[in-house]
Amino acid sequence: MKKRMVCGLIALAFVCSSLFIMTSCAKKQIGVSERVEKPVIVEEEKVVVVEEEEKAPVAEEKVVVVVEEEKAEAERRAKAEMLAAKIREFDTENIYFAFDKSDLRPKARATLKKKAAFLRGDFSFRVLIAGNCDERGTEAYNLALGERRAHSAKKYLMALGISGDRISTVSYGEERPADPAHTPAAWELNRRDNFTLLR
Amino acid sequence: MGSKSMFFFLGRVSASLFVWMGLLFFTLLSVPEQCLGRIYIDINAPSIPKFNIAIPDFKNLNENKEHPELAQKLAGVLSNDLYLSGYFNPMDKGAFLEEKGAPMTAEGIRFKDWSVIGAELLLKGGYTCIGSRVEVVVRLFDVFWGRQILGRRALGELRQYRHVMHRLSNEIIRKLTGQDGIFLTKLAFVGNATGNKEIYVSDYDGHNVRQITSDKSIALLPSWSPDGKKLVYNSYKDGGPMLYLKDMASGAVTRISSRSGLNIGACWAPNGKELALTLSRKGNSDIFTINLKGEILKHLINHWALDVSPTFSPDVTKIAFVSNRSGSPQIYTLDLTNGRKERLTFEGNYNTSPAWSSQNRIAFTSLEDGAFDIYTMDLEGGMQKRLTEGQRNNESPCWSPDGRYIVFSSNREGRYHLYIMNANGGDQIRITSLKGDQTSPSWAP
Repeated sequence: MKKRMVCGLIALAFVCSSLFIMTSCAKKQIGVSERVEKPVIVEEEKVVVVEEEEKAPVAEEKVVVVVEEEKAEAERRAKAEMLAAKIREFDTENIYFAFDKSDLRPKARATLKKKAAFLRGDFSFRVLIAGNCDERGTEAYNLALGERRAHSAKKYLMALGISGDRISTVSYGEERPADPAHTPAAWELNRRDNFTLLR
Repeated sequence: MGSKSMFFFLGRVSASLFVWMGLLFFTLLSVPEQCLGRIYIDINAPSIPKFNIAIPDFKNLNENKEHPELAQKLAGVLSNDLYLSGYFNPMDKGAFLEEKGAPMTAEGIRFKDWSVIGAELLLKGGYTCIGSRVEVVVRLFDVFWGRQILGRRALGELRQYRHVMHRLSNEIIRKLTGQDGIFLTKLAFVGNATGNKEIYVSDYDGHNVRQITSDKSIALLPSWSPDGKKLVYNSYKDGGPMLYLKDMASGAVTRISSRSGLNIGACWAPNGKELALTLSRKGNSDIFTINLKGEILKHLINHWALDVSPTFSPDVTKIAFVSNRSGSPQIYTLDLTNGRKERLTFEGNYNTSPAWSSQNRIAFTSLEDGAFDIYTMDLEGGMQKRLTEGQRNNESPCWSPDGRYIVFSSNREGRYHLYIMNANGGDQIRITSLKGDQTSPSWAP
């Protein structure tokens, strides 16, 4: 019995050890075969990737350039439209004065601040300020008053950092009414500075 | 003007001389002492009663009766002149009893027919057309005394018949007042009939209008030289309000001040060699004098305020001008000999447009209750007299060269037109009837 148990144990141990060896051998083999194959595959992949990378940029760049040109065109158009809108706003937004006065009221100052911001942002523009009066009063006096109104705006823009070289003025007195009616409402609209951007 | 017209007045060596001499002799003999050299109209009197004057249509003395329409036209010009002078009340022709073809001499006229309808003076005229010329004779009669006061004959171009009649009107006024009439004077003004403001000139009565600028821009503030041969005005044709001088004889236009800013409201010194005006080349409007080349002579007013509208005194010792140094536009004088300034107007917030007359009064415009009216004052600002009232806006007064009338613009009938009135504000009569507005008059001798 004892002999049988020993034999059995030995046999078991052998089987177990051989099993152990076999499994570890198999593991090693797998490992080896991986080590051998991997570099090849990786190298092949690398080449492919490199080739793809070398080819792709040419193709992709073309696509990208086309896209960017379209975008730039659109952006430029949008910018131009925005600028045109800004110019329109600049040119149409007047400032207004009280009868026989040339001092700037708060609303006029706010408007001029916007204009100064625009002029600071784009040095390619200059501005012509035209001073105007309502129809009441004496022509010569209104010409001088209109000039003073234009100068009020010029001085304020200069105080906001706009160079005086970029600002010219002209007085039209009562000669260029915005509204030709002979009513207080029209007079209010006519006592104004209007602005023209120039390049 | 008038260089082509020829005039043969009474006394000129002609066939009619002896007839006229005879008449004059007869008149001298029969005139009572107190009436000799009588001034019928004392134009310096504070109020002048108007003479009722009858002016029947003129008689066509030509056998062929050419230009029958002149019978009314010639009488019309003369009647309008005498009416505008403010010294006469031309009577309605409908009241005249006289038959056509009635005689033109004191002996033949039935003065009773004229006195019965209230005429104090009777003016008879006749004309003869000779080719392109017309000869006109006028005789003025005192209806009460039944005798001739004046007889004059004039010859001129047919197309300038108004000018011929103005000459005769002047003779009548000189005879009755001892002073020259205004009938040969001229106006310049701004009109916008074309849609642009341009400068126009006309006779004193608003007739014979000529457009003298075609800048298609804005032309403003014309001012005649004292001899009536040159005109300065502003135009925007080169951008800003620059000053131009037009020589009326040659038609040449010169730009004489084109400084940056204003070059406006030039007024002539009485010597015709310099101009006072507003310049703003340094950003502030001041008053300067310049010569006719535009070179600066003097910086008369140097002040931070608005200083505009200079006008010289006739003796050139002072200018009057407008300044807003007090906070509102008021009229000041500057003594050119010592630099002293004096404020003349204190009432109201808007006194502008001073005009200094040869009779040493200053006319100006004042804003009251939303309307502009014309006033006059003495040289210290006293004796103010309001000349217009309750007829909308009345602006830009300008004196006649003799200082007895004022031309101004008013929108009392809708658009702005030119009116004249006498120095006291009497007889305000519209003289322009162009399209659009007529403003900013200047009156030349």
